[in-house]
Amino acid sequence: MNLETADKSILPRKSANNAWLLALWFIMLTLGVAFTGYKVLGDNPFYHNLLDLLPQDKRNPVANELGQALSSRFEDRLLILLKHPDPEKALEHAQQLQHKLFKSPWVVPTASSAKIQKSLQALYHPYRLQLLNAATRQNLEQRSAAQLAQESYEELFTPAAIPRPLSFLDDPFNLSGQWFSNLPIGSPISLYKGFNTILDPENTQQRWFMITGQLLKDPFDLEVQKFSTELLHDFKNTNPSVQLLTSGLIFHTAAGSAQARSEISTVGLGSLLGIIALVCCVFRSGLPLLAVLITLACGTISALAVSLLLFDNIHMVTLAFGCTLLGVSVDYVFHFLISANRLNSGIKARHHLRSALTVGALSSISAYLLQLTTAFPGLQQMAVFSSAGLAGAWLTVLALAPYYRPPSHAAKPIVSSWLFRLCVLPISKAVQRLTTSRALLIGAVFLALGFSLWQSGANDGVRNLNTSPPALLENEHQVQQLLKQPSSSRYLLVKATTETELLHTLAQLQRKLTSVTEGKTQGRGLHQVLPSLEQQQSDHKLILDKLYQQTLPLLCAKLQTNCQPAIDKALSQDFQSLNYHAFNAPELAGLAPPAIQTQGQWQTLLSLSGDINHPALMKLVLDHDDVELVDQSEDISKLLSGYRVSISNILLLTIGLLTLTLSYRYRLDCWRLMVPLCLSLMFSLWAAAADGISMFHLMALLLVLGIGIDTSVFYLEVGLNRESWLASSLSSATSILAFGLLSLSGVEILKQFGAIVLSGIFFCWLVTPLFHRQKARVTHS
Amino acid sequence: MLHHLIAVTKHRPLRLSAVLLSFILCSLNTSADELIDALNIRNAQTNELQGSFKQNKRIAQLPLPLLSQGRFHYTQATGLIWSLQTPIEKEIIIDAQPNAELMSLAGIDAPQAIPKGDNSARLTSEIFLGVLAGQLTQLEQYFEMTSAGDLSNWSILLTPRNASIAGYISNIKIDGAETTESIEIYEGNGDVTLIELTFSVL
Repeated sequence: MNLETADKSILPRKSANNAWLLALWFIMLTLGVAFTGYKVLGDNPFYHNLLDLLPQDKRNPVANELGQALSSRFEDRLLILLKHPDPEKALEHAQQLQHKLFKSPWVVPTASSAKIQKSLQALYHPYRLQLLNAATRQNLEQRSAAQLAQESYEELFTPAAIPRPLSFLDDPFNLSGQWFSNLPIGSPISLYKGFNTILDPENTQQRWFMITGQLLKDPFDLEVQKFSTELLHDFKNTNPSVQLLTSGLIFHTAAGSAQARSEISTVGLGSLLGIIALVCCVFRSGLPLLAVLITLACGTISALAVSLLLFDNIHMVTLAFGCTLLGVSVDYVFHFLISANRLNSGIKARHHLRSALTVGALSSISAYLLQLTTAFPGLQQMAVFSSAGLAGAWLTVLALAPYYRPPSHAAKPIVSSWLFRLCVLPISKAVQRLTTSRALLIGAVFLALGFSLWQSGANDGVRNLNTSPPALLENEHQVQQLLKQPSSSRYLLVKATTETELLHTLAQLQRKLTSVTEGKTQGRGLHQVLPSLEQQQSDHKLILDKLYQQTLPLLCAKLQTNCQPAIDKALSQDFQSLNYHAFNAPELAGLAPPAIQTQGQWQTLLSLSGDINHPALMKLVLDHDDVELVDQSEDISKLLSGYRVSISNILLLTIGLLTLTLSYRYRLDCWRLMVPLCLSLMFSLWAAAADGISMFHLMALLLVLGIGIDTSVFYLEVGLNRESWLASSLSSATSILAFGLLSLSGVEILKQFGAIVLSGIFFCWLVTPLFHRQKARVTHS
Repeated sequence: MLHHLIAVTKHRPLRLSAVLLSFILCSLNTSADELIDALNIRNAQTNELQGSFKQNKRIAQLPLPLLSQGRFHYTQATGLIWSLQTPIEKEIIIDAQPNAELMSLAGIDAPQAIPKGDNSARLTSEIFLGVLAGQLTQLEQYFEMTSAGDLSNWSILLTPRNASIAGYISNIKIDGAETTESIEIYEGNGDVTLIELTFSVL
């Protein structure tokens, strides 16, 4: 771009207005550069938490919070399973990998078993005279004191009895040992030379060696991600015979970040190179290329600055999507350059295109901004990022246009001229003449596309939200199977007014669950580690009466010892209830599902394992008013379905409003804008959403609407001619390039966006000229 | 060694091949690891053992020890029958199925936690069976081993590798010659059990 500030004589008449606009643009640009530079260099504002893209379920916030708590308790943990046909080699490899892992400053071993054991003993010790498991309780109720004394006496001679954590006088009946050994916690671990292993269920001769660690930094920290990825990558390369499975948020965030980085470079660099190649090929001059690059740079700075101002941080996927902005924002400069070359003046070209540029930019920006109405935080960012980028590019063209002087040797695009004269114009003219047949054909195409779309149905599957590579998800699934972990996406939500009622309901529900599913579905809940207050009181009474007052004297007589101090001590202790708050220690987080107390209501989960889809589950839930079956996948699908309907309505409303607004300006010619646009929308859905229409397809249609209307507006404003067709072709080519690259994304959302916009714009470029006529030309004289 | 130690009579129940192997191995100057390897080889060939035992259990804070005796019968295929005869009559059967499972706290959280349910007794059974039958490979899963002596007079100290097992068992000391002769189990709560074994010829 040629800023001829020195030579005042060539400035147009309204030079004062132009100078103001230029000054405004310059101030905004300077502020944008300063603010973006400050944020990017100072705060590292880019984040990678892919979970933030997901919508929040507002219908049941407590259930949502409990589900989150259940699935996020181990966000700072990582687990690696390692297998080798030779267990000795596997042990060696596991020790090596573990050593490397814990040598880093970011990963430490998980809370030691000794610590957990001590925490558990410390937790339960004061309450040991009120905790009984069902089998022990039944035994105490059914047997006489003499029988119980004999059993306890015999137990003392048995070399392979249940371990006794406390001394005889502290716990003569080993109630603590029996309570601990029946806690329904955890996964099956078997030791191999002291190393934790899991026996392979398919071949019990083989073991998976298990390494677990706790992250000292956030799993979204790039340094930790890089370390864990490189460690495993190197390990796999040097030990190809070792099979590895991983579990933990860190591996998903690392994969997500790598993917986002790769896509930013693919889409961003691909689009940029494509645009440079196109500009060089068409204009064959350095100045237009400079104009394009300045517009792109200003658009990008504007997008970054506004997004950082509004959101403080920018998601990496937003950046990847924002790269498509390169393809869209360059439209304005293409239209301008071609017009300026023809009119041989920047300011005349701006004047000639002012309406088209404004209507085009505002419609595209509005289409992007409509994404703000969705509940997806990631998509809201994309909306702001893209709108601000487009506004920046548009303002740049308007501000700098008067100072652009086309090169005197501006190249004539020979191929496009030839194509336009021989193909586009004759076909367009021929189609214009076939008024009746054209209407019939359009009607038939609408009907055929509509029928086909109706047949393809909807796609609200939760798979649309998958942001991790399938191999990693399969890996995670295998680990959960091996560890026999309860499902974190399907569980029973239990409500009660008091903690006691909650625990009582849980216990009752657990019994019924075992009964109706014939033991095929197992439940895990808070009641298994915390008996209700009534149960504790009743067990306390049973223990004192039956064991301490009746049985202990008999047992001590057999042992020829005086146990009276132990009896007196037990009887003198006041009853203290054990409640949920005692389980707050972080190392005990995995002991039971979480519970939440809000506004006089207690809610918790009964997590499920085994056959979690057992048909009897639904019947069980129907029998209890205070129990709900939560299926997160199904809930998210319902949520997506709701958003799909909302966006369909927004889309229809937008089309209606656009038709009204454009009718005001273009009167009857408005149909020339709307018909090809609607055809393009339907065609893109037909081409890209064969597996069913998702909400993301519809959101992408909003973009097609915005970008497609640009094309039509330019044709209507300046008429169908060689230059407008070339500008439209160049714009479409760059958009197709950007979105085409996006359709190759590994992230389903971006892929769906890319595919829809790619096919929509291509179709729009193909059919729109058929609806427009030539106009009398404006010349530079 | 406790003062209630009871004298035992030694027998030589092993087959000729094992005796020959012991003789050859005894002649070597064995290191600690080699001793454990040699004992492993020898014990692996022991298909069946039987004899009597005398147990002396001292429970912390109780003034008198608990004395008991009885008989035992071990086969590699079926496991151990431990028959208490005095002061109570009770038969305990420990089958030969190895690998009791521990339970972790929710897997990823704390993989080496607590002996679980029936497995807690199963684990102590497995350790006891391993100690009695000299299944050192099996014991190696749970304990670090320190050995002293040679095949004709050896001593092995077992120290738990796993902190949760260490919460229950501080260490185990096994002494023997051609077979295991005495076992001392030191528990985390302060209890100590001494078992003296007398093998009979099959």
